[in-house]
Amino acid sequence: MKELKHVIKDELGIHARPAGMLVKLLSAFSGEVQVGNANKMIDGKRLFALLGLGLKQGDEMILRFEGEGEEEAFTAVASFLAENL
Amino acid sequence: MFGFRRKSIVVASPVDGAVISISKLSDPVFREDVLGRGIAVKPYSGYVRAPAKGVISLMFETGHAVNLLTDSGIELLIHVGIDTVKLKGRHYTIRKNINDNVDPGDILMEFDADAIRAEGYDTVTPVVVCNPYAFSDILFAPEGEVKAGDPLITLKV
Repeated sequence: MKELKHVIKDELGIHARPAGMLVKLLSAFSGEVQVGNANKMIDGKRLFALLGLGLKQGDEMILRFEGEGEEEAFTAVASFLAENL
Repeated sequence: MFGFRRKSIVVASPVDGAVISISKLSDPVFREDVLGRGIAVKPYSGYVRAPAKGVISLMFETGHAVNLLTDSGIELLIHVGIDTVKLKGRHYTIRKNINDNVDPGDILMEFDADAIRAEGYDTVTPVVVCNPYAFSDILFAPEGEVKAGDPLITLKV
C-alpha cells in the first residue's frame, strides 16, 4: 500500500474540473484507490463520491493505492496534484 | 428468463432552453465525457429545477452546480454555465441544500443569466450522468427547445 497526502492549494477546492481529471487518472490504475480525509474515505474512481467529500482549500486529502502498479500510480497522481490542486 | 424487459428511466430538463449536444461544447471536460455522459441545455430562464425525484448529495457553496442522486440510482451533475466556479457564487442563489429530498420541478437554484454573461461566461448547462456504467443504454433528447420537466435523458437499466 502507498499513501499520499496532499494539502489542497486551489482556492476553489475540488470542483468538477479537477475532480473529473483526478478520477480519470485514478481510473487508469488497475488496483484499488481510496480517497478522503481524516474522517471519511471513498472509492477514488467514483466522481460523485469524490465531489461529495467537499474538500476545500487547506484541507488535507489522503489517497491510498493498493495493487499492482501502485508505485507508478502514486507518482503520476502526486505530480498531477502538485500541478493542479 | 429474467431481464428481457428492461426498465426505462427518464430524467427531465432542469431548465427551459435549447438542447445542445455535449460534443458542441468548448470545454473538453464536458465534451470528452471526463465527468460522465451528458447533454447540455442553453437556458432561457434563471431557474434550475429538480429533473427527477431524489436527494441532493452535494450543493456547491457557489451555487453554480449541484449533485443529485435520484431515487432510481442516477448520479446526476447539473452544472450551470462553463467555468462558472470562478464566479465564486456571484449571480447564483441556492434554494436547496445537501441531504434535502426533492421532487421533480422543485427549484434547486436561481441564477441571473444576464449578469453571468456580462462577466464573460457562457450559461450553457451540462446535465451529466456521472455513473453511466450502471446503465445498459443512455439516450439523449434531440437538439431543439425544451421546457423544464420535458424528457432530456432516457436510461435503460
